[in-house]
Amino acid sequence: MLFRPDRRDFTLIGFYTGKVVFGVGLAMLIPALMAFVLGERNEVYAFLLGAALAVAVGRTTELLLYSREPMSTSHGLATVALSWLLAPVFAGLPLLLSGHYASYLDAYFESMSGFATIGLTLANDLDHMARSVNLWRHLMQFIGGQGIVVVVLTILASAGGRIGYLYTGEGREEKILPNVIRTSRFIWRVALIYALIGTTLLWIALMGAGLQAPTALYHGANLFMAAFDTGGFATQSSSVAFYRSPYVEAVLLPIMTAGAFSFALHYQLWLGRHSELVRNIETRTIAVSTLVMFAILAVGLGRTATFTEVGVMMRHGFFHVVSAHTTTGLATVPGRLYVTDWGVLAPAVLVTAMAFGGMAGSTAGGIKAMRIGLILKGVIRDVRKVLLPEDAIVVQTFHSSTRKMLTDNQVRAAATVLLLWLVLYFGGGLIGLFYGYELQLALFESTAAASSGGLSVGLVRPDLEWPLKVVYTAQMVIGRLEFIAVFALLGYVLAIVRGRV
Amino acid sequence: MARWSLPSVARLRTGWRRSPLHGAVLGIASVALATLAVGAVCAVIAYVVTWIY
Repeated sequence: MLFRPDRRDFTLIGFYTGKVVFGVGLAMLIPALMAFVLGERNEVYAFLLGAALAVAVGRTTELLLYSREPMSTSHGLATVALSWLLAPVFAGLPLLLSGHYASYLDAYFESMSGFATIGLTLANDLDHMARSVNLWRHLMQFIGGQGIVVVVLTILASAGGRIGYLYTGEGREEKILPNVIRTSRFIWRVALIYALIGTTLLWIALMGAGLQAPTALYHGANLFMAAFDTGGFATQSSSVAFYRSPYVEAVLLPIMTAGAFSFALHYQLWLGRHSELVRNIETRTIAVSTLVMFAILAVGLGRTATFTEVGVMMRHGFFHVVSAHTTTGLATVPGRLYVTDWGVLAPAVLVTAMAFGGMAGSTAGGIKAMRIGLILKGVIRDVRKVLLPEDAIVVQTFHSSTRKMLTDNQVRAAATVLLLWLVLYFGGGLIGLFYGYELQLALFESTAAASSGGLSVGLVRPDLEWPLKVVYTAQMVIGRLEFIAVFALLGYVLAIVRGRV
Repeated sequence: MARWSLPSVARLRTGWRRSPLHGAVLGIASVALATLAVGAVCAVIAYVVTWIY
């Protein structure tokens, strides 16, 4: 059967996308208020302009394309993809006007990096950026991490049942509570309470590192948003290395880990079901892969004699493995050192850790521990089938909230998505090679963009070739939406191009 | 008119268990412990690797 969307389909997609753009406009009022309080006059105007434009376009679209049609899966997925592409168009405007970005493409890249919680930056002179603009960078990660579409529609939409498909489109496949609205509220409750606790702990640690109380609070709030939403932006160009504080890094470690945990797991932990930590297939997969990757990284660093003291190696090595595995992207050493001082093995571990990513249904990106775990379970099952007598019935189970039986379909679906991820990582790497960069650098940066890992070896900088900026931006959105939402939008676009509307 | 009295320990405990902070403390403590456990094993690995090299 041919896919033949009609005018009503596009109206519905436009209507909900308008709501999202409207919500992004409202969010810009927060940094505008901060700019007003801090006396950053130019930034006040920039944010008000951006907000006015987004609110006007969003509200007009809503009114013009008003729809009460029921939403299908493809509508939801296409709306998510379109919203993710359009939100940075408006969010990037204040960034461009701040003067820290060379072009609108750079500002769009930065906004996409924010909403998709990547952490790669094209900002010039980040250390002297206005505080309100820097807050907006981190706020975009917070909004994007908690699910821009869910956020906006939870607040603005009145028809609860109809937004379920949007929720699925963001890669959050599990409904923790019976309906999406309650699930989204739980996600927000977790985020806000953790924000309160995490920011307070970081505030104390940063004051201990020598920052004045107000500055420490500002840095703490921004660092929390970057860490919990596995975003990786930092207020300073040298990232976490700026603070030179093992205490700050120690506080960040569990915050990054919490960000990479699925909200379904958070729900279990909030109910006091601690055994889930040990039994869950995803926590097991992440724990084992973290240990294996750290061991390889330690061998790599040991061979190059990068760190002579065990404590220093542990501090930087473990922080980077956690940062990469959770796809956060915060760093305790300058990125260029991965290439110049860390040898070959250690950067390869970081690439692999970013590629693996966190848990499904978390703010983290990458292939996801669930898929890796299911594929490994599938391999174990197949090996057992070979070893046992032919008439033996082999049953493989896994634990995710409850005990479940492994099916062929689950393994096949996980393997298919794994293949897509590899194509995305290597595809970006190949384009980097085309522009003359070494394989190691091209693959590192491509994986960082696609997986939302955000660590950088320094390739992503303002003077990067513009086609590569476009490629990395595309990788960010495709990776963040886990392919299917982008494919759905492409389906609608192709239908227009082929005249099937 | 109801007389004011100090809340009992049982009521305080029930109130604390029903508050969102209770879940948050449990959650963040579990995450911190998990990170610490993995970190401790990594520290042993780091020590062994440094000793070898």
